[in-house]
Amino acid sequence: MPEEQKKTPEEILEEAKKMIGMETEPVPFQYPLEYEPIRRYCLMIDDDNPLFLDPEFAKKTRYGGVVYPPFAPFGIMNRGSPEKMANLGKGGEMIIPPTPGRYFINMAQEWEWFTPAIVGDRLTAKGRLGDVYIKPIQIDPKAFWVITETHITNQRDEKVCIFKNILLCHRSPEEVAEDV
Amino acid sequence: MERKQIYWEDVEVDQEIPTGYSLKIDITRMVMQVSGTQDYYAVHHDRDFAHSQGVPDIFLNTGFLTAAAGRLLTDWIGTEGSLKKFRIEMRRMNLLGDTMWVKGKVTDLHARLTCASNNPKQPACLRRSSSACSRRRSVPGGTRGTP
Repeated sequence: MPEEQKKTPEEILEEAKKMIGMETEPVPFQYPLEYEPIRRYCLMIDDDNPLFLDPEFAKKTRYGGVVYPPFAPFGIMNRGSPEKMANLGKGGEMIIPPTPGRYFINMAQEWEWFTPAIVGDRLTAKGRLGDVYIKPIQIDPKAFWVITETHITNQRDEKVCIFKNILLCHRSPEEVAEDV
Repeated sequence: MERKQIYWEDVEVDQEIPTGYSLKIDITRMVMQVSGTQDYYAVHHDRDFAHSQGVPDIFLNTGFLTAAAGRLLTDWIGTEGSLKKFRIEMRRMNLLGDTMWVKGKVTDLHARLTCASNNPKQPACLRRSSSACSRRRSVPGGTRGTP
């Protein structure tokens, strides 16, 4: 692209802001919630909670079955291939606005839960762009901050949880130097 | 595998959460991280790639960190407790070779009425909002919540 046609961060932000509130189509999880991913998820942090791992125990609780650990929908969302993960914006799971930088870092997450997810449930995710703005960081005075939301529902269309990712997107030092 | 159940009356501001723990972040744990979260981004498992991205080494992903915090809380609140809201901020990386400590402290308490029984003889139940909630000892019922 010729230099004179290159958009400034402010121009890119103007385009990005038009996407706030935009939602993806609902994307059903490929499989019902299963025992085995929970086992691997719990193993990773030495979690031996019987509510997540012991079907006999879980059956006798008020949930009536093995419960999905509260933060696990994020892990399951990532299920797939490295290529799929690198193209979540293109795959329809997330709304990613245009940004001047290529380097994304997840800076924070917020969660709210409404009803438990039980093994056998069929979940659906819908993405939404919550916000985008410029806030300087040490290495990039025009770093972009992107807030994405993921709304998870079950097969009864009940809200399971909402989580927000607060993403920082910055440019390389060379790109920042070009902008000055 | 029965767990201790805590109740509203057991919790006080400034109380240390007793279920804290630590994990050594060795290469096996990094492999378990990829297996557990299915997060294949190479910065979390490929040391050469991580170095090429300007970070000191491979580091734990967000899914691992939320899972670790989740274990602390769900171990504490017991199988009758529920998480309602949660926020986590990334301040620095947990790198290969580090030891990660997971611990917490009660900073505030909230009680709010979130359900009422159809049976007039049965009292409504109080639930704690914020990061964790549990039923009152004196209340037999409760809503279906997320642990």
